[in-house]
Amino acid sequence: MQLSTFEALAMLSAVLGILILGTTLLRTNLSFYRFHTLAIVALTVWIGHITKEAHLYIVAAAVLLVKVLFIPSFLGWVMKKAEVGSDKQAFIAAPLSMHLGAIMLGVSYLLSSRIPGLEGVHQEGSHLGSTAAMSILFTGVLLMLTRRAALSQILGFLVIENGIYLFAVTQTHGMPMLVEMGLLLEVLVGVMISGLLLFNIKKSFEHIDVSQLTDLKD
Amino acid sequence: MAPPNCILLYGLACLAWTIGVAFTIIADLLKTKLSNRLALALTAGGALSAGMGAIGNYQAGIPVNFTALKHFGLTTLSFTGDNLAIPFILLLTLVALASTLSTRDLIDSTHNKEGHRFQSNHYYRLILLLLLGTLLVLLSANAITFLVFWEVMSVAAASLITSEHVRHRAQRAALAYITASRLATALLTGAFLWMYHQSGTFDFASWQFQSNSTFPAALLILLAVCIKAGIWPAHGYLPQSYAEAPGPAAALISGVIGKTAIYLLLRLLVLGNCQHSWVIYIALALGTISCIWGILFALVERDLKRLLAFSSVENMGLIIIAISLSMLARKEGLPVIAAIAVTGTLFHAFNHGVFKSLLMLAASTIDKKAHTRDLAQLGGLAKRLPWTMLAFFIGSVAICALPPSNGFASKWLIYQAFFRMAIESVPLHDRAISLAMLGILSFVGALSLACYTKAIGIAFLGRPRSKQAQFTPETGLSGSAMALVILSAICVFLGTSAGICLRAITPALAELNGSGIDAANLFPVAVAQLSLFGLITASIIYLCILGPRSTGMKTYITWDCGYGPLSARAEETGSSFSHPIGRIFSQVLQLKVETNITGRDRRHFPEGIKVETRMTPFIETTVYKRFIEMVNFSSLTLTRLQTGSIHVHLLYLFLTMIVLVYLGTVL
Repeated sequence: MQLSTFEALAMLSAVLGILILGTTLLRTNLSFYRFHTLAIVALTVWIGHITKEAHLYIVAAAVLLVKVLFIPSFLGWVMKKAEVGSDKQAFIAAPLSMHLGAIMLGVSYLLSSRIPGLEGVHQEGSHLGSTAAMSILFTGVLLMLTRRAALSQILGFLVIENGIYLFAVTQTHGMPMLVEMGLLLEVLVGVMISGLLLFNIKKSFEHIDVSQLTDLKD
Repeated sequence: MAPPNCILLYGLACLAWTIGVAFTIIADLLKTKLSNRLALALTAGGALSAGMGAIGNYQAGIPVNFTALKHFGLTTLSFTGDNLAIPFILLLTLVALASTLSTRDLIDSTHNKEGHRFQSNHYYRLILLLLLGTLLVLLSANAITFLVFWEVMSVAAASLITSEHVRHRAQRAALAYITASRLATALLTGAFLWMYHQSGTFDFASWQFQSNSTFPAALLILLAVCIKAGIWPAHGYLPQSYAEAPGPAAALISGVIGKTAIYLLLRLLVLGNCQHSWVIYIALALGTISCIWGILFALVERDLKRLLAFSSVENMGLIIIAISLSMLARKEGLPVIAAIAVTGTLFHAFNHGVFKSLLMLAASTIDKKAHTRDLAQLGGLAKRLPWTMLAFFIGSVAICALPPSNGFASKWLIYQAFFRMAIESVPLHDRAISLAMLGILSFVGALSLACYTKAIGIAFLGRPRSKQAQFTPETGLSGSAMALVILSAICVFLGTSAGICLRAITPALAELNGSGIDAANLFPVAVAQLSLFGLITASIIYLCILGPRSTGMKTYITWDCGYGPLSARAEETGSSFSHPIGRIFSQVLQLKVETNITGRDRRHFPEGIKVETRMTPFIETTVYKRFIEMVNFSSLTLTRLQTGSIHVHLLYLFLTMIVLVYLGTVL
């Protein structure tokens, strides 16, 4: 099976996303997230190159700055300060959840068969772009669902956000600059706030296990 | 174009009521009480001006679309004052005036029974809102405007029922009322949206119900009207809410609010020329059942106000029957019968509004004086409340449809329509139904006569059955007595001059059936002559039989049965009066009587006799209770979904997302 560069990059980002599920060591998780986002940045640049949409380069640069460089470093700093190393007692063991992620990749392949994506970027009849996006979405949800540590929740949220971003990029000629930048800013603020919250949770409860925060109901 | 004066008058009425509402709010903010005089003056002034507006509108004689104020969400806020609304607006005016007149006597503005302060600001505000909502419901020209004011009206009525909200029963009643009116609104909204989808407009005037595609809307409208009017099996809330609302408000709610539902049915289905036979037969069946059901329960009821409420169920059933008959006749191409039936409907709705509010005010007067409505506690009120007795008597005569009252006139028309239907050349089953309906109607009429004989006989005649009923007699004509006398005079007037009244509603009828049949010719009975004849007969009976009292004639108190002065405990009670009939229909009423006689020789020398009568209202205990249990169970089950765990909530999100994505790709 012959993959175009675009498809190869999309699949790479999806697989790197699934690899996040494969370990409970938070530091490793963060590095996988870094690589996974890097693949998405590369994909954005590539789409910009094909469609001749110059603003995609700027978007890619911003994503690189915020999501690849800043956010993982920030979260690493938070981890060190809060003294959490790994996400013990996940609901589903890490290897199993990675396999689930792989299965979800197949499911998203089936689901996305009717979403062909951009003309010109994809090969005729190919829908691997939306498959990857959806798979990343599912990966993020799985991450949030199966892990206990608050840091994994933040990471899951970030992965979901990546999935949505990828979906937008592969389906359209890039969203307007302003929207893209706004989203990025929102993610940044969200992560910083939740990082600080995590700090306080750790200080007050001596743990960051969200499964024990059950006062959500009335 | 209507003369501007009637627009001005309607506007003035709304203005007066709105100012009243504003005043009550200001008074609340200032923590004072709005003066009764001012509030009542505003209420009455608004009502008078609305009534005068209706009369002015009547003389204009043409349907007018006089205001399209501004854009109101989906459509304009437009009103129309056509001939169909006029009788209902007049009824509103009449009942509002009567209840205003009696407010000061019936509402204890300082303290109520349990010693809690009665919130008069709250009460006046709601009464004013209720009137405002009702008037604008009657005037609204499109569905959205209608729904908005319909809600204002329903919510105001429900809040009035909770006026004495510390009482548990009032809370329950208000909950039941609001549930019913919510259901009705939901069904109406569905119907209106369907009609909008079909016709592309929200204007009532352009909706037609002939084509098959309008069937769901017609059915939904019928069901909503049935719920609002308290037709079986949705009658359960009526007895509770009528009994708990404060007197004047109860008169308004029972006299006018239910009629707005009838008005809606006339405006949409009759004006829209509904031809769906399913709708017609369902209406006929529901109306028949609620006729019989209502009067049977009224007969065995002990609480005077609840009795009146069940009687309302019966009368509403009758009105629905008449409407469905008119639609049936129209469908069969018999415009004369349709015209007679629709005349009967309109006239009976008006009459019922008058005499039911009269009876309700009388019952409230009794409640106020004796502090009880239980028939087993009352008795001998004829000497203490002579005016109330007179009014209640006239109201009962009217509601039992005895000549020369107005009830007779309108029921006569309905009977006549059925008689004519039975001899027309229509399909056999329609003729059979007509004949059967004649039997059922006369059966119901007889039962209602028994029911009101019981109400008057037990409450007003005999001796007081309790200390509570031995209050000081009323002196002179108080405000509430005046209202009662005026209303009963109107009852007699409407009955004796039925021809004039029918001529007055001819424009409305011409609009309804479109055939231009003169309604005045539909009531050929020479009432005046008949009344004269009855008067002469009565005088002869009195002069020849009752007049010359022989020496051997003695006077007893009513329930002494000729035995001489018995104690009040030996008198006939309401339960014993209605017991024979209750026994015949014990299957329907679920009436159970247990007699327990104790003593060594229990046959000849019983030491203790204990009789217990129990009645379980079938619908309430089975259908409603099951339904409420089901709702409670499902709500409890649903709350279990809300675990509070982040992960479970995420799972829900995840599953929803998968379903949505799947739907998005498949569809």
